[in-house]
Amino acid sequence: MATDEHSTVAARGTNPQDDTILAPRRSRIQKLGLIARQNPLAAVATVILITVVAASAAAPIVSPHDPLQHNLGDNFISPGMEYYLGTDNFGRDVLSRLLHGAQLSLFIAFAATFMGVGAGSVIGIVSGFAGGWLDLIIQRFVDAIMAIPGLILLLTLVMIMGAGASSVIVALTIFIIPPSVRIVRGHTMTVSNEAYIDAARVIGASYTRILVRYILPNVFATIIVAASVVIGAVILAEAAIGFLGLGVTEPTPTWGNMLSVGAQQHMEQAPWMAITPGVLIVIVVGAFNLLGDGLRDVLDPRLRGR
Amino acid sequence: MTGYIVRRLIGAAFVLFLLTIVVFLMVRSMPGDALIVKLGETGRIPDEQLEELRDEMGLDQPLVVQYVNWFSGLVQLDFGDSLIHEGRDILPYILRALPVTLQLAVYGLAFGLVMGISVGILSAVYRGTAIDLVARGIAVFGLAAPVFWVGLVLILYGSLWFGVSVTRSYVSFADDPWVNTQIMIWPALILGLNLGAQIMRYTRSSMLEVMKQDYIRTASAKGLPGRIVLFRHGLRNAFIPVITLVGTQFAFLLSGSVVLEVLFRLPGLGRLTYEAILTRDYPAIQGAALLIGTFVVLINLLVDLAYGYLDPRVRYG
Repeated sequence: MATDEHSTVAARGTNPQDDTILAPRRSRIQKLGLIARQNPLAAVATVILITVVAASAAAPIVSPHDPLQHNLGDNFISPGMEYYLGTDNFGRDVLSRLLHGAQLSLFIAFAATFMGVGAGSVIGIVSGFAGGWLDLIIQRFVDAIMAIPGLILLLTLVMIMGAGASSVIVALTIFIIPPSVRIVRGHTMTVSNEAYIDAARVIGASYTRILVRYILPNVFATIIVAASVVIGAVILAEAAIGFLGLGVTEPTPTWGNMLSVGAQQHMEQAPWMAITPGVLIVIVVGAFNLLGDGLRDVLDPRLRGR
Repeated sequence: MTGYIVRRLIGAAFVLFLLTIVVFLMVRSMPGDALIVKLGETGRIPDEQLEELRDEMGLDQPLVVQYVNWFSGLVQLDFGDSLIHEGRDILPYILRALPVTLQLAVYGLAFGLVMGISVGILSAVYRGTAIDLVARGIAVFGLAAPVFWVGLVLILYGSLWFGVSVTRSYVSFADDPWVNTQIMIWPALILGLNLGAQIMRYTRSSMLEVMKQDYIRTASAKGLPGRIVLFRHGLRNAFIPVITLVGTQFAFLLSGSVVLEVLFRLPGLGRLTYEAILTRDYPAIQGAALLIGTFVVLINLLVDLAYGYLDPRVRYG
């Protein structure tokens, strides 16, 4: 977002808050409808995401089979009436495993995004507002961590902490703190230069008050947008960890480990084992990205069209 | 410009120093003895050697002393000894694997740039048409599709769709450039698709932004042909944010090469690191991560310098 600094002043008037004063009051639902009509793609994405989350939450009820049950006579059955998406090498139902895998994969993604973007936002706001050498050191640390390819950082951390969902969550949290710091810090700096921050200072507001009452509400939109973009990357990273055979281990299904090295040797025989988890990942990550674009348009009018 | 270059150089040196701390802590964030116990668990190292190893790695010393020892080794290009490989010194292993990864990254970058920029321009010029829609569809897919999954599907269906098997045993470029290219082309295309999707989005939005500027209207108003306005006045300015993206995405590119090297069985740095992680070969992980990180820092430095050269506002800012 290199152009943040240049285009702030011009777009001030189109702040969403101003809208609510000038335009006739609308109910929340009417407003949602309006937003959805302006961002049809984001609306579709939201519907897809709600469906996937609901389906995964209801996995124990809606899945046709037990995700862990071996049915040795029924292995490598191609998609059909009995098993909608086929079975794997142990005769386990792929659809049921996908639904149950969604639970864990999405939980890991939401938890890591919440903690990582949260921690990153706090550091980013402090760094951007404080400026000076504190900002310099934090930013160089961010540069240093981001120089290590994410996957190597993640795999090393998971290996050190041991396999399992909790270490994957911690590793992913550490993985997304630096980019979150970078995004939030940049926006905090822009906000810090606004006249209303000077005004707050002049009337004698304390640093804490300025941070909490003036900076935070104004960077909050950026934080939400960052989270919606980051969560897609987190899902992909979690899948890559699973694919490489670390992280959450068999028999517990996740989207990543359904594509893992162990499963790959059977895919010549049963390609549907490879196709469906990947397609689902593409749909969900794509939906999160589109939602992120839509949110950015709504929450941050400055970047509209970018 | 000189002041800007000096500032950037000092900054990059500082980042490199912090990188050594991060890499060190990343691997040693666990107490030293626990590390040794973990190594013992793998059963590869006999008990009597563990004591020796603890001594050698200096694991009984405070973390700061361990770091200083490791760092002073690095300065003398001593990356440490592998716990697995014969001959112990890990530097030769890393240097042998490096060209494979760089080749993959350069091919992927080239494909990503060509695809991203051309599709991005088309998409911006034909905004709102079917071309734009298709281009944006490709971008959404390229960003959302896991690199390893695209590779997996290609391996499964490649022979069916393209009539060629995409996996074969690795042949180095020096031995047979043609066979080598045939092997590298697939992972490079996949890597490039992902990067290209990002570049495409940036090119498109940057292009749309630039085409709204006053100097574009001026250029059109004075009667310049659309082609000249587009390329000389538009594209040149639209490129600037795209270049920064390449810098920030380089680390990302190398992340992708880890899974692709594993999937396509390429003996690169990504696979070396992955195998070091699986076998808990801590010094090798440190060495490889540090070398890759150094590359990324240097690439970012180059991008920063190019950025300063292209956009005077940056160097005086």
